[in-house]
This record gives sequence, C-alpha cells and structure tokens, in this order.
Amino acid sequence: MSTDKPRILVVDDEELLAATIGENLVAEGYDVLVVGDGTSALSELRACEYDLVLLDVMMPGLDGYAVCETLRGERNEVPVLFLTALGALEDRVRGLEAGGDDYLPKPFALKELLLRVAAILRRRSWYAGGADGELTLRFAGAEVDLASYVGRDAGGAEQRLTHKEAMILKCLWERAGAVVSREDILETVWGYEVYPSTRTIDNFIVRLRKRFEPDPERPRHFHTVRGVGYRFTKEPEETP
Amino acid sequence: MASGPTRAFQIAFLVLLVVCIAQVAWWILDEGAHSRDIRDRFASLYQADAAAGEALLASGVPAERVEELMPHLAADSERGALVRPEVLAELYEERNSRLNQYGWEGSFFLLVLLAGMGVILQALRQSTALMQRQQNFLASVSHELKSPLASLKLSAETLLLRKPDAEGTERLAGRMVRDADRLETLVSNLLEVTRLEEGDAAPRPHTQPLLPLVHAAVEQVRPNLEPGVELQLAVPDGLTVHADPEAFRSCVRNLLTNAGKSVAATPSSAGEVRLAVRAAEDAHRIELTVTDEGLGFERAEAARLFDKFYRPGDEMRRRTKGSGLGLYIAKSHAKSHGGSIEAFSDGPGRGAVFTLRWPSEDPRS
Repeated sequence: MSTDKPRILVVDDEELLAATIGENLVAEGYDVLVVGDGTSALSELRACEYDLVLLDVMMPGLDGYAVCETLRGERNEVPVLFLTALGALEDRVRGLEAGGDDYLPKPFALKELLLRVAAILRRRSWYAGGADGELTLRFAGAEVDLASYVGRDAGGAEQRLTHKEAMILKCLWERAGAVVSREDILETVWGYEVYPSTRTIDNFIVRLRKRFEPDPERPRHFHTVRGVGYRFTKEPEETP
Repeated sequence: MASGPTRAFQIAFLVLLVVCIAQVAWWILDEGAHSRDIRDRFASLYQADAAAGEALLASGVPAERVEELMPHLAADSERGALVRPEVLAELYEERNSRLNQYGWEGSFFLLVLLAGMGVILQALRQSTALMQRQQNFLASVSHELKSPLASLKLSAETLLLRKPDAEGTERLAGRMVRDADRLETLVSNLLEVTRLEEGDAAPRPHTQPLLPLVHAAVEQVRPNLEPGVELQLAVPDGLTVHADPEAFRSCVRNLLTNAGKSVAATPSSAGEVRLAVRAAEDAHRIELTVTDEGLGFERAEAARLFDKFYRPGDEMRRRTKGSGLGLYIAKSHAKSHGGSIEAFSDGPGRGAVFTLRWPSEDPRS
C-alpha cells in the first residue's frame, strides 16, 4: 500500500447500489472508484494498484468470476470480495475457485460489508507488513520473497507461490515451533465465513511440502500434529 | 408443465418402450429362426421316411403299400421312394408365409412403439426446454428481486448510520424510490402473469378512443426510462380501439419498457424509441409500432422473444434487466383480444420493430 488511504474498486452494473456502496466506503476513509462492468474493471486494475475489489458476479459482457480468473491468471493478487445476488453454496465455492477472497450475498447489511472490507484490508496489511519486519522468509536454505511470491527451495530451484500459499507459509513461519490449528490458519488467511472446509488447508500444506520438502512423505518443516493442525520448523536438526 | 413425477413417469415409460422394441425385434428374429428350424426338422424327417420307404421297397413291400403308409412319399419300384416335391414345396411355402406374417405384424408393432417413443421424446424435450427457461427465470427473478432490494436496504441503512445532510438524504431517498419502483414493476408483472394463467383476467373490452390510453401508458413508463432513451410519439387523434383499458395499457407499457431497456443496454446507452399508430389496411384494426435503436436480435430469435421467461443470451452476462415476462404479458393480452404481436430485427446491434395489431371496434358489431 503506497498511499495512506486504502484504494478500493467497486464493480457493479447496478448503478444505485454501486453509488451507495461507494459513498459509504468514502465515508469510512477509503479512496474509492466505481465502475459498471467487468471490462472497465480489468483495465482499471491493470493500470492502477488497488487494495481491494468489490466485484459483482452477474454483469453484462464479462462476469465477475471471469474478471477474477483473468486477474489471477495475470498474477494480480489483489483481494477480491464478491458481492452477488447468487447466494447458493455452489456459487460461493465457484467464487472461491475463481480466486475470490470472500463472498457476500445480496442483500447484505451495511455494517457486515464494512466489517468484511476492514477484515480483508487488515489481512492484506498483515501480509504486506512482512514477518518480524522481514519481507523475505528464510528457512534451512530455502527462501521466499513475500512481495513477489517468488522463492527457491533448499536445492536452489525457483518456486512461484500463489498468494494463499505465501500467506499460509507466513502464518506458519511467524509461529514456528508452535502448533497452529487449521482454524487459526483459516482465520488468518481467509477470514471468517468463507472457508469451504478445513480440508482445503491440508491441500495447501501438501503443495507447500512438494515445494520445499526434499522428501514430502517425511516432512522436516511442515509437520502434521494429528487432530490439531500443523507445526512449522525453520531449521530442523540434522538427522543422521 | 411436466412436474417431477410426470417426468419420471415419462422416462420410465420410455425405458419400457425401448425394452418392448428390443423384445419385438428379438421376437421377429426368434420366430424366423424357429420356423426355419421346424421346416428343416420336417424336411429331415421326410428324408428319413424316404430312406425307410426305400428299405421297405427293398424288402419287397409293394410301392402302393408304402405310399399308403407314408402319403408324403412317391414310391416306385424303379426309382425308389422320394419325398413328393409338392410336399416339400408346401413346407417351404408355409415357412415363407410365416416369415411374411412375422415381418408385417412385427413391423407394425415396431412402428407403433417407435411412434410412441417419438411422442414421449418430444414431450421430454419440451419439458426440458421449459425447465431450462424456468431455471433461467429463477436466476433472473432472484437477481431482479435481490438487486433493487439490496440497494434499497443499503440506502436505508446508510440514512440510519450516516445521518446525512438534507442534500444527502434527498439523494438516498431518490434512489430508494427508484429501487422501489423497479420492485413494484417486477412484482406487478409476476402477479399479472399469475392472473393471466389462472384465467380470471377475462378481458372486458369496449370500444374507446386510443389516444388517452397510449398517453396514460407513456406517462407510466416515462419516469423509469434511462436518461439516454429518447421517446418519440406519432399518434393521430380519432382512432379507436376495442380493448380492456388496463390490458391495452399493459401491452403498450411492456413494449415501451422493453424497447427502453434494449436501448439502455447498447454501448452508448442512448437512442430513440418511436411509438407510432395508424389504421391498419384491414380497416377493423389499428397497427401500433414501437421502433427502437437498441440491441436487436437474431432473426431466429423473433418468435421466442414472446415465450414466458425467455431472455436472450447467457444469464450470467445479461445485458438487459428484466424477468422475461413483459413481452409474454403483451402477447397474452393481444391474443385474448383477437389481436397479434410480432417482432422484427435486422440483426444484433441494429434495433428492432415490434408491431401490435389490435381490433379498433367490436368484431361482433
């Protein structure tokens, strides 16, 4: 975040709703731009850096899911909060699969919206603040740059992490040596209400092991603590 | 409308039909093979008899006696005993007539069964299309209901939370009124469709001047048109229409609203909607046309536009707002008054013309 005011892009073809959301966010002290369709949203997001996008799903031309997928495909990891009249569970899952961070069905309560926005921005600044002031995480010869999500494993091979992988790594790294529950990870990385299931975390851990463990079957960094969660070890003692 | 159980019944019946068809086909083949089998068995029995006849002849039994014992043989002391050719011919003939019978009867059964299958498949296809439209309807209605509702709720909450100054209050209240109008239109369309379908909306038409009806409809539509939509009227005085006033107004309203939405959804969000009325060539009708510079449509789509719940394109990326009910309502009203309605477009992006023909006087007089 370069400026002091977080920048938020509101994308919704419902002009009245978008205008009222925009005015409320301005009143909360955010820097806000409102656009009415997916294509303008993409060009705006390519041109400027935003801290959060509030994205409608059903829109003329390019729908919200497609906008989010395109962004992620371009490695643009700006947080996305879907706002939509589609509220079924499968729509929520679809939103998360498209790379969304949170999902708020219409109609929603104003305070709920403001809380979610604040929570996503808090997670973003938690992440951007680095771990103990460090923007590069180092452990046992491996390293990951939090800003670019690019790192290398102990063998020197390049690893391009996704935003969520990097957030989970940072969450574990900060609490290295302690047991971190799956719920804690969900809370820190995704925020509330969103999680499809705690199994999601297990899948992410499998991916991190593949990236950084010489032998993913016998992890030395990402230990499973049965029934609880995970424990991260920065510098494992050499095993003979 | 095929509900779940009906559909399940149709599918079960279809499966039964397929099984029946397979059985009939198998029956034809099996009977064919069976009759051949019988023929061959008889033929070989006759041949065995012929051999026995030969043996009898050789042992000195007179030929006449052999023929008496086995009438299907022709016995002769010089040539021996042979199966009579006419007996063999009869055997073959009988088999062929059996085959014929199986062929004709079987094909008839097959034909009937296949026709039944066709009827059921057609019904299933129709009910699938309707289900698809209903799902679309559900998606679009929930979008159309929830969007203004979300906006209305948010504006009200903003009023409560922010306590804005007079100007801000007016702005928010204005938005709330527009959202409420949109909800009102949708709800009255839904109710109107329900009334039309339950048949308790039997029109009570009478002959009356056309101009005031058109003006009333225009005045109802005008406040809800997007700012870029320019409405032009060419309605001569002196024409009459034989109509239930609310039905006629609803028809005109829906045509105008549809044209307005179509124009608002173009990239420029601006354009003209022209309403013109003239006496039709058939002197007992008026012809009302609504011409717009909106999105237009493929020619093949023209008839489907009036289907209930029909909305062009993909629900997720819909350019126009609405529930897919307006044109259906307009067509229903026109039909119930002995009128007609049709749509024409030169293609996507080239606008559209909707033509409404309506009796100008009581057809019975």
